[in-house]
Amino acid sequence: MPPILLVHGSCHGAWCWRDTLPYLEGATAIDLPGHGQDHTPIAQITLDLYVEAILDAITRPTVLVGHSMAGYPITAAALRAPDKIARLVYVCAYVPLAGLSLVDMRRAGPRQPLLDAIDTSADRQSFSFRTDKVAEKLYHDCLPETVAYAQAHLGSQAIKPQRTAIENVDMSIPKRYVICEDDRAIPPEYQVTMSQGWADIRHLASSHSPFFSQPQALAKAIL
Amino acid sequence: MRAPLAFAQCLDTKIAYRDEGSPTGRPVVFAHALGFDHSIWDALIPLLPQKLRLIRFDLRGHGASSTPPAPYSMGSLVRDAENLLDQLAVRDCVFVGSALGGMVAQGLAVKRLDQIRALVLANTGTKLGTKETWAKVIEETKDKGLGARAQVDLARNFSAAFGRTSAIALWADLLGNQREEGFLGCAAAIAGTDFYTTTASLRLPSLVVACANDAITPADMVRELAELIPAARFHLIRKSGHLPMIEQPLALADALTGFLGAIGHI
Repeated sequence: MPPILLVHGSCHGAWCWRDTLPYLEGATAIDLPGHGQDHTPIAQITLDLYVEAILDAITRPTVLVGHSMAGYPITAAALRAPDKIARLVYVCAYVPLAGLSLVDMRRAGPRQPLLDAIDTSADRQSFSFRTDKVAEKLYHDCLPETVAYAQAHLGSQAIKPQRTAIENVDMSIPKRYVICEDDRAIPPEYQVTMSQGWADIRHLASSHSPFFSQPQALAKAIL
Repeated sequence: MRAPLAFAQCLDTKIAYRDEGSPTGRPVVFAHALGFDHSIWDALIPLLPQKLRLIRFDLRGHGASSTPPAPYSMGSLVRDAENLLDQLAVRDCVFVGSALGGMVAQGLAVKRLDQIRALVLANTGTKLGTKETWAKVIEETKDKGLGARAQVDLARNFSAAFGRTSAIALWADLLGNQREEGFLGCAAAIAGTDFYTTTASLRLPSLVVACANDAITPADMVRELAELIPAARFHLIRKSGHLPMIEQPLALADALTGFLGAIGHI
């Protein structure tokens, strides 16, 4: 069994895998720069820095799991060090198209459910989730105490990495998509579009946060 | 639901587009305004006869199309459209252009009469602004970034009434997330363009659309464009700013459908 590395999405950190880790033997979760326990200043955070953090965390061929925004850094990491990646697992995540940034990909989607749930900082370098909106957008099927735990940990998100495109996305690494069918952040129909033609697709009847709402089923979908 | 995004490699630029309606229908092609993307036509497309083939694309440096280094010439924007239509085997289309997209329409109509049989020019002119005003916009944008520009453009593009609706958030998001390179590139293309002579030579059916609350291309200015092209029809839409496909999609759909009927396209 190759090791598993879990990579969180926007505004989250390693903390979001709390309930899932017990079901994934040998898995590790990391904080990307500027998230969780990592206090890299917003202005210094780039997609490259995310990729370095991921590659620093792995030594041998690993299953890279990316949630949501992390579809970008896990793809970029796999392109840079294909020998260190056994498989990519996209959990309701963005799948980069060549030349498009995450913002471009979001804008190209069928709907923009998060527009009213986000506050952009005055310097326009970062954004955060509005506390009155996260429960309905991200965690509607999670327990109240779990939502409170998440609320207490959510941080701000550097925008620069999300404006960075990946120019060439050709690779031959096996990949899997986990579609979250009740996702209110990234439209489920867009997840279907992004994984069209893939051989390995799993489905969860979950919100955007299967790591909280159904950790055991998510673990099974990753393994 | 919208058709999935598709891509065509047009020389050095990858152009993103959606090809909708009936694949065998008569084609109508849509080009958007500076700073926006093909999503400005989202509300209009479903209101048009679906037996038409409805193709909309992102100009270079915008939306999901690629972004070559700025500046761009108007010729390169026209070439992207020409190349896309060739790849999609489009001939005799009605080309609908909004503002900058309307300049591309004028340029393409002169170059490729086999591709275009009629024009719809919305909120545009043969020349937009002056070299000096664009030089200032470009300089300020390079200096201060697009954030401030996006705020100005948001206020200028939409009527005050529309600016008070919740729908404005979608367009604030779009303008706030433009690519600076694409904006600067296309701004340079507009700055360097004056189509007065060539557009005056056009002899194809044309509908010119203006809006009563348009702060960027006032209705009187747009009317001059209609007077320049022999036999062009002029249509004024009330209660709309610069982008009637967003603010008054029904009124624009009616005008467009009427025109398509009058020229035998439907």
